[in-house]
Amino acid sequence: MKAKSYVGALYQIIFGFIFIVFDIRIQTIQFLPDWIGYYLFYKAIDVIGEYEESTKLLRPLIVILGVYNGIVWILMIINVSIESFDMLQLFMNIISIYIQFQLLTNISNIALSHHFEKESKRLNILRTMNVISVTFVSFPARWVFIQYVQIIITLFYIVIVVLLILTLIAYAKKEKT
Amino acid sequence: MTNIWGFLMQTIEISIVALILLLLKKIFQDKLSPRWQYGVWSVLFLSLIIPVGFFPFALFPSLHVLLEAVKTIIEQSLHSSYIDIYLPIKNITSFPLVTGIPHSVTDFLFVFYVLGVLYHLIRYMHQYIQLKKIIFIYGQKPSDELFQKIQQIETKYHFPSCQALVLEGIPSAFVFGLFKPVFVLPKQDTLDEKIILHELLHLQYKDSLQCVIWSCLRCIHWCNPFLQYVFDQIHNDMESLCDQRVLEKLDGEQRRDYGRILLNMTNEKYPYAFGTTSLSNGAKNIKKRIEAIVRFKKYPQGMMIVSLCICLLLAPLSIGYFHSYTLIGNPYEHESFSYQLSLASARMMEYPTIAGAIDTYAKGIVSNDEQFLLSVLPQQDYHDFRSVLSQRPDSVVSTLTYYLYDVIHLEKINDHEYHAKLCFYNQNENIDVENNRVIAHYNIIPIQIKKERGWKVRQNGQVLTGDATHLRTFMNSEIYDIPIYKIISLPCQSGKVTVIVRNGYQVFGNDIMNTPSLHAFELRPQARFNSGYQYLEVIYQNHQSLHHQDEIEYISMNLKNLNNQDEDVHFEKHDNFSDYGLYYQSSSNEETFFFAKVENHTLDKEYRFQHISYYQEANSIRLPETYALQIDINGTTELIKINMEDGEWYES
Repeated sequence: MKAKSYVGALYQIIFGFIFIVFDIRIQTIQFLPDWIGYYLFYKAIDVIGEYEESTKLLRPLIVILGVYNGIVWILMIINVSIESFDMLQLFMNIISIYIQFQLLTNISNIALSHHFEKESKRLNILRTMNVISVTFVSFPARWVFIQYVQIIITLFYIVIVVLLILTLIAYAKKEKT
Repeated sequence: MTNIWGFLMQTIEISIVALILLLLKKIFQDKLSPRWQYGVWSVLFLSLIIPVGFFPFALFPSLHVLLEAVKTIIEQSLHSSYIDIYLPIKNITSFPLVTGIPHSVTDFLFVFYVLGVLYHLIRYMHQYIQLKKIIFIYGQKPSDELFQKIQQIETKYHFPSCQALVLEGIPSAFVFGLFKPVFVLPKQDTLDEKIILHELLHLQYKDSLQCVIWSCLRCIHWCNPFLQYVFDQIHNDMESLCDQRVLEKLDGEQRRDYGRILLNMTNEKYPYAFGTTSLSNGAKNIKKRIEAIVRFKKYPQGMMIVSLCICLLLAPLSIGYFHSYTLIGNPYEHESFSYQLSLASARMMEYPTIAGAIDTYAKGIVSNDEQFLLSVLPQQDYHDFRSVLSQRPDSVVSTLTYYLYDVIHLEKINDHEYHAKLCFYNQNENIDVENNRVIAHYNIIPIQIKKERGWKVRQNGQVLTGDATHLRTFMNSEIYDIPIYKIISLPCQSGKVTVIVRNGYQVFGNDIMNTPSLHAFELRPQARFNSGYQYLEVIYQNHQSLHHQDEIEYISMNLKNLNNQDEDVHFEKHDNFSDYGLYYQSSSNEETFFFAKVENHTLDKEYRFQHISYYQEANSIRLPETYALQIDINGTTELIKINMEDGEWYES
């Protein structure tokens, strides 16, 4: 039962990443809103926290991000500009980087304790690559990057996230069996 | 910083950065390691050493504008020798410099501040020298047992060896000195190894040198109580980092012992002096350090990368990169504070591109917007800005043309100056039905563009007005027969070629598309000329002998764009002359072909055709610098290259 809920939590994390990273928008409506992603993370933390205590420390940070993204989502629907939110967005990007890093580290540690060394190692590598790529994508002074460098950074980020999601899915399947 | 306003701007901006960092540290207090907690202050360090106003950005531009407005109001009645009333506050250095004899109250305030900086620096130096004297006069060599203990720890943890001295009367051990640090110990029977370890770690990471640097920066902001609090926090974080390093070298029970050692120091005096580091830093701070020790864990691998990434994201804070300056709305009450704010915001605008400056100037002229014009006004005109603005051309209208304005005759004088002419056309209802032509009333304003905190624009001559016939509309560019163009005259083997050149540059954008009514214009400080045209009228005259001229059956000309003077030329083939009739012309953006059948050639007859090249930055299409012209008379050809840099500008 515990194992089943852990696998469920893993899938919540996977879907959480999908909501947070990918952005499908028609006019002002975002169809994969980030706040849903953070809600899924919040639900998953309860279970993952039973295996790795330090995961529970992420709870208040996830709430902050969920509320912030919820407000931004509503403002975008009613066509209110969020251009002046730069400073706040920087804060949120920093918190997001930390959450993703710590969450993936905790999952990797659980994988290691469950004797999935290969998956654990892969998760650690992808976790680090993810942090680096998110940093460059979120970098506030993006004028330092010429256009084709920005495109390369964005493509690299998407590739890493896709690999991360696939790795998590593969790991979740192994945990299930 | 050369005046009190520069200091105020510097210290306020740094305080904001510090506040942001304190907030972040609070969020990550129990999540990120003491290494990050101390390392993140590197962002503040950058802010402290980078002068505010050096870059055209600010964390909160409205704060800068507010300060600028207050400065202008206060300084208007003073006669400062440090401050130019209308020159925006901009620091060249992050430390104070007195540049002359003070005259006004604000000058004296600044001098008082500088004296405060000097006083604190001198006080620190005096402390340092006094302590050095005490240590080296009264300090004694440690006992053999203590000396061996120190050596053992140095060997065990590969620390560099250093001089150790015992001094009576000090409450706890500390490291003193910058270049040859000395380990100073209290006179005690026994000294715990962990205390020695703590101090040697300070030595290894040159913490006393870091303390000196922070103390010097602290002196510069001596009158900012918030920053004094921040510097205390930095010192505490440095001690917490040292605790972390100690704990990493100890095991379970030893770590608890270390905590007990710190607990015992809560009632002791806090010995802080310039150029020193110490285990004890006050009861309240020791309590926090013990809480951190309880939270101690070996942070996961990769945490360093997260910490670095977060610091990288925060780095732009140090140059204030978040927002460029923007104009604040212009109220009608000229004596109000809001008006001063709007003027201040205009003076602080910077235009990094020539096109951006010209664009704002043009919009200011058309919409009669004082603020737009003020934001591109050169410094030399600030003191008399009202008079300068009142002399601007009024009743300049731009209607029924696709682009709001054309920029022609753009000429580089030197790296810091350009000249150009700004053309506005009013095509409103000016149609000469009788002669079947469209006429536009034009206003041409000569302008000078100077490099000065970006680029600034001023009128540079008399406005030219008149009516001009419409020549062509090409790719939305309307070309008029205005009396300013370039003439290039080239002799050739068979006669003479004259090329009349008209070119124009535009800034393309949604708000530039013109409508009959005036509309709100968007500021585009970084605008570039992304559209343009080059209209050529080629006139050929044959000067061969009468005998030769009588034999001419046809004259054809090919004009082609070249990328450079040396490019090989290949023209399109045109053989079917019999199909062309008396006159024929075919054109593309790259090449124009002209044919004229000569039946009755008269002396000095002109054969003329037009060619247009357009410029579009989006499609990487450039205006050619050179053209190739081939003249074919009865099959005999000659080739001429026409360089656009040649010729003279002409004003009729």
